[in-house]
Amino acid sequence: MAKSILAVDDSASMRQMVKLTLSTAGYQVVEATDGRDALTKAKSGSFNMVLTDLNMPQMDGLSLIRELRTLPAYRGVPIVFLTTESDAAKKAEAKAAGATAWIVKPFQQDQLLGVVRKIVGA
Amino acid sequence: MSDPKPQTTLVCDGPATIASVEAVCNRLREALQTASAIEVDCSSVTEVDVCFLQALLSARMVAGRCGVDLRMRQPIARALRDALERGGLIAERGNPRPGQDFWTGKV
Amino acid sequence: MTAGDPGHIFREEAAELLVDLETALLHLEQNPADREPLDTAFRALHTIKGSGSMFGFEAAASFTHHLESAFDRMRKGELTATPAMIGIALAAKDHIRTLIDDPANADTAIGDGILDRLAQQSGSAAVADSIGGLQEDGDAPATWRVRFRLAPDALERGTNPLLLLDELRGLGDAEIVALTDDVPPLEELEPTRCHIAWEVTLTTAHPRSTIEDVFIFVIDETELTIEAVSAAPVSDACAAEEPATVSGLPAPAPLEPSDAPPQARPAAPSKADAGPEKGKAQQAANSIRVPAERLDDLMDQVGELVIAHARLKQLISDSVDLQIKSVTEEIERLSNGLRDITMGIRMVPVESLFGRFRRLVRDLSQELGKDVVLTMSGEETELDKTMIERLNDPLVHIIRNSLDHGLEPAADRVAAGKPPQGRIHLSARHAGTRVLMTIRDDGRGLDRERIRAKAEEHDLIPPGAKLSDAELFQLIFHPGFSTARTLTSVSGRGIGMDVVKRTVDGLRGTIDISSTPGGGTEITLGLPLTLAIIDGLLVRVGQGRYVIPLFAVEECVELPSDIERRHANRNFLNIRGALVPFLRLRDSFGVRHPPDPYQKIVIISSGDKRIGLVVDQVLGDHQTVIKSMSKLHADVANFSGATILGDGSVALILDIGQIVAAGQNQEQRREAS
Repeated sequence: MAKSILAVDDSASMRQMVKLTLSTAGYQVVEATDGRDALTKAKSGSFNMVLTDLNMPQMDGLSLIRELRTLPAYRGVPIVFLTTESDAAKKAEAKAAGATAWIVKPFQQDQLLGVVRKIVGA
Repeated sequence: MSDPKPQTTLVCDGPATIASVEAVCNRLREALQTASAIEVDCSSVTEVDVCFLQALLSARMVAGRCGVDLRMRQPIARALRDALERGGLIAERGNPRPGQDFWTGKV
Repeated sequence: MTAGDPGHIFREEAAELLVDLETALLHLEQNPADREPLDTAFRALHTIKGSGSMFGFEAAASFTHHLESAFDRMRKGELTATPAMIGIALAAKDHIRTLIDDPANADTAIGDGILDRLAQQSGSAAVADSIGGLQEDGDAPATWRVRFRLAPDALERGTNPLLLLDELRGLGDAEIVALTDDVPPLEELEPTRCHIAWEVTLTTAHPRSTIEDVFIFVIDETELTIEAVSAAPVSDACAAEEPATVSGLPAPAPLEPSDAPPQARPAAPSKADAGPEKGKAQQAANSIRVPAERLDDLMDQVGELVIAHARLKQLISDSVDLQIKSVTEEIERLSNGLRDITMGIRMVPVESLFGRFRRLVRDLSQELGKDVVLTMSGEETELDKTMIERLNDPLVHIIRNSLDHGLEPAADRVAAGKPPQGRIHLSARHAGTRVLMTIRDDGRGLDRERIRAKAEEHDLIPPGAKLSDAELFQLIFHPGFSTARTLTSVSGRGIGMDVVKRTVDGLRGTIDISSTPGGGTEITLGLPLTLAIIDGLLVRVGQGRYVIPLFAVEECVELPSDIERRHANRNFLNIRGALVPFLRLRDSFGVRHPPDPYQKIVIISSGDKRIGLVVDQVLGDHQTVIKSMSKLHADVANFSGATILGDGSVALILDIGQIVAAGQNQEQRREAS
């Protein structure tokens, strides 16, 4: 059964790129435009993985990660964050909030796919 | 109801993962307290993760200590066998691991 | 298009990378053996390719890929950075820019041509093929014992150990054993925590770093040991790090006591920190990229703060409360400090500007068949970023002119006893609160007679008018003035020196020209350090207050009271023997308020011209934050901006260039009549 991924980013072109890459590889992708949108969708559906940007209007990625981790249904669900900052502080903050892995932007499609496969399986 | 410690079958189906592991543990605890023999039927699990394997390992430990006969219903589901192999709990080939027959039954 | 759009971000990033690339290429051309520009060029290409494909610039990415491969081979010593190769790379760089900025108009034929030439060069410039050297992956398989225990909460946060084990299995032949001794009995079990550890015996040709990479996202909190259990390839740099617990390892260098229990290793350096990237990574850690608008916003806020402080200061000027006064002084100190720091943040070395002209000079000298060398000094001098951006076009034009008109063909130069190679020198240096930027060539110098003839022809000056050199040279800034006999493709592009003048005026800058016949021309731009703040002289005319930029002020004198009576229609003042025309700002601004009994004259200069401005009162020095005027008022003559004074009222900032020109014109009209 195809694994489902919730892709959260306020940038439409980024979402499009993510969706294209992952759906071509056989994942089911649901898009959300910000943290609040993502939380609503996460609560009403179930996903094998959440992929989120950190900097977003409405609810940012860090808050989203924290909120998701309070939901029993999302305990153990991998959360991967996208970040432009490769600095340790931001990464540590997101990890402390409960994230599983990260992808440093800019990245190539095969890098994205590599991390998703590594974290959630094929 | 004549036997105070009856045999019981514990059925796990669908995804047997972290999301449901607390419930599985509760059922195992209850069964260990009430039954003298427990058969865990995982024949229709679709997905198994490390949490589920740990819970069964942990239950087996208690069962051994309390003299409860805890067994896996054979043959086990493909998903369970996969997880056991991938997790290094049963050998994919060659000599079986110690304790492997708990999972796969006596050969 | 919003700033957050990734395509937009990519285009911005690519533009910067292409500049880096060009600089590196030109540097490489001079120093083909230098490693650093090669690495810089490669990194730039690599990033453009990577981000390009990510943001849908597929054509740019795939084109860049070929170039990247060539540079990768150069880095490995398989190709040499020949001048021909650099030439191709420069052409390719331009093509990449088109592919990114204007993909619709990118000509595939051009791209293909470049790639063909690249392929040819790659063939002929190839250094003796593989020397059978080191391969990154040791091909002899080694056996490793990998033990790991994940953090207790690893499962809750989404790490799946089965996937990690799958990855290890994918590296080679793996035997996986779960270590279940720490799994507690059911009554003590925290079922969502991870209690199992694993030991994997892995035989693989991959290096140790690849095994570590499996754990990349959890390595900080995972107890991980990786030990070689059979001879690892000696070339593997990691071999020396092995704990010496295993016999049979050739001459191990034990870094840990041999009886140390297996325990967590310090996190291995991730790939990104290793190798040639290291320097850059460290540098990046010490600086951050900030969108320019945010700096503008910050500057705005600081400006408001400075104004608010000025109001506060004015409000309490009559107060006798020493405590309030001392706090106000403290705020003044802090806000001045904040202002200076903010301005400092916006400063960038002019090198980023000068560097762009290397390519310009290179290309133009080829186009014109002139051998020209560009030298520069003072590149570290800093200037406001906005200023740097706006100076680009004027400098391009001045340099073009120097190359096209200033520098003679080699034969003429030799005939004139000069070295055949022409020289253009760019320099920048601080002079007080201004930066002087000089463009000097050693060409033939400005042709005074031709300028004069042209000016007379265009009725810019009366025939036979006596003009100083400086006055004469200023004429070349007149719109449409061009002395080149034939328009070349280089300088005949429809913009003239008048545009240069206008731009520099807009920056509140000055232009000075000096030229020696046969010796060359030197154009010096005097520029404020920043566009945001101005040191001014605050004056009053009628009831209005105005700011005169301080750099233009030469002196303040009193208007002799008898001049009104004796020369009511002669607006000249004798300043130490020189006649200086003056403007009555009261008349210029149509002020009806009765004049003060003692009128003052502020003498200002622009270029070589001086004029006096008659004002009612000189109020003193005033450092002020410039508020640009609304679009509605942007074309109001004589003013370049506005500022808010301490009492909240507005003062206009005089546009020196325009005022001086107006004063001169008034004088010419008077003389003509």
